[in-house]
Amino acid sequence: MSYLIIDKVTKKFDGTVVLNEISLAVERGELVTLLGPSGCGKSTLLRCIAGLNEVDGGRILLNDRDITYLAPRKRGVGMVFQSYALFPNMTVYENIAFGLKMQGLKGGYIAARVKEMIDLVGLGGKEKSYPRELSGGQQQRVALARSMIVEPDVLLLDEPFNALDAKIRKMLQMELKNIQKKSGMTMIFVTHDQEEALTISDRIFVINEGRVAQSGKPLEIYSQPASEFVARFIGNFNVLKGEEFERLVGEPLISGKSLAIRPEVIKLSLNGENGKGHNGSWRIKGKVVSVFLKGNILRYRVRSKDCILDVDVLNNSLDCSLNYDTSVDLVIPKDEVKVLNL
Amino acid sequence: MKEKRTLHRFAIALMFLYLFMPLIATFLYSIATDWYDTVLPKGLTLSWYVKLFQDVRFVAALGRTLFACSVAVGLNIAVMVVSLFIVSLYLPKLERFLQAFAMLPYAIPGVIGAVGLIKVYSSGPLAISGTVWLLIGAYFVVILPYTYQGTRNSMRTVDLPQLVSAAELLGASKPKAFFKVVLPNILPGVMVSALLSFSVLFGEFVLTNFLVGGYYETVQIYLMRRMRESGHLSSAVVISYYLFVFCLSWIALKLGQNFKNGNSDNLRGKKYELPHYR
Repeated sequence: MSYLIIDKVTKKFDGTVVLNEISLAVERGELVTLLGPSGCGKSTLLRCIAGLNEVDGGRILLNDRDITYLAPRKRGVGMVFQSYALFPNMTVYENIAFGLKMQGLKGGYIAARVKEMIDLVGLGGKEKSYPRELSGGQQQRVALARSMIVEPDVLLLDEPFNALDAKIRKMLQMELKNIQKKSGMTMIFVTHDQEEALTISDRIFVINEGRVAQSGKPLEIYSQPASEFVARFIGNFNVLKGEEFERLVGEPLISGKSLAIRPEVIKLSLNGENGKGHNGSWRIKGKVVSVFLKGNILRYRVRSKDCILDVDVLNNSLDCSLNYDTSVDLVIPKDEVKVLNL
Repeated sequence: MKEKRTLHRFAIALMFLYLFMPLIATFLYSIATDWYDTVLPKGLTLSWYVKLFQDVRFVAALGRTLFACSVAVGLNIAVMVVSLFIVSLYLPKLERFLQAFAMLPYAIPGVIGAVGLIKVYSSGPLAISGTVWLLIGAYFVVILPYTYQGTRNSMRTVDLPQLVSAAELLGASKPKAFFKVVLPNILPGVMVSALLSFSVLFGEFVLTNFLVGGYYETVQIYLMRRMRESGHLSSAVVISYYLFVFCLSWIALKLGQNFKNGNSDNLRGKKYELPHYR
């Protein structure tokens, strides 16, 4: 039996269904991500698990206990909020110690545990600082330490890195992953950032309209999107209708279904270069419509037979940048074309 | 540049002189032996203050005022803080009604309010007309707008629902979350509104005169009576009143600052060495 089971949970706000009989299961020690666009219900699900929102139907089981209707403080659930929710009147030390004080533990034990947590999140020397004296990244670490010190059965993280700049965000993602591995704590992370989800998760649940659209390991989700929604949301897939694709490659395929191709699997070369496509791929001609520099990647938008395809090329040489209207050949490996169900 | 600064300073000094002139004149009058046909008092004396504080009636009136004001402010703050906490957390849609209710005293002139209260409470099951309890009740209503605004504003400066949720998830009960997390963060605002309310009530005359008058002599009623007897004495009462309110403001602000810093150890005289600000 799984450690955390969400069983057909429904939640409505003023008659609007936000969670639609959603079901999922999380194993002990996993770091799973609920990934989805704004308003898909991922934060609501997190708040339902924490007991901050009451559910309208379904059950939530944690470690074989039915916690559906328990008070938040009795659930054994910790939570890191998007806005950190640090207590402004307390120092870093007092913030982290708060949970243990509420449990009525002795001062000596609390001091030792707080020191342990401060070392774990790398906040040594900041014990006497107030939240307003800390940077966003440091505040986030305090929030993490404060939630982890009470050793909850499951730790919920509601878009915790949203307010941070890209560099600190990436650093904290790695740190969170390391801390999770060290502590073995079960964590549920909510984000709308696909890259973040792919970086830190053991498993991803892609949420759409209050339901799980797809779940799996990051690589599975990224390389095998089950639906058009997942394909469009998780990566920058080229999603084409069956008819469009048939016109593009000139071969009859499965009509009525959509197909997805990752931009980085399409090979791009100047017209006439690198010979022909082989049995395992299609070779098509097109013209560069636009070029976007994305740091280490160059994204070419290529028009071919009234279809637009994005092609990602590693930005390893200035010579490889092609100008607008350049004629190019595209090679699409057949086994990289995914047929989508919805 | 320097000329401009001098001009600004002169303008500000002039403004302060204008504002403080009545107070300075009152103070001078309260320590004057005689002052009617000269620019400045003929002589200075503290005898009016000695006389004032030796007057048993004044001390008793001061005690009564303090009692009525403290009870009304204390009750009002307790009710308002708890009401706003509940409304902000669980019934945010009701906040408009609470606001309208709290602002009602602005719409009712003191005389009309007093007459209405006397009429309602002079007979019937709750005949408390002429007693301090009716005065406290009226005071409670008068200061509603001040305590409402102050408390609501300080609650808005913190993310109340999120702080309470965080405290609860860390094992705190609702009352503990309120006393350990919410109250320390809103206390500066609450104290300022309590002080403002106290000052308003301390100087309130219309309601007091109508509702209790001579039955329960407060400082205001005492001041009114002594004004007919001696201007020097009533000036001494006014200056004492200002000094009292000034001291109260200073204490409240100091307390508020300490609570805002959140360093409870400062209150006990033990100071933390704070790290350098980022």
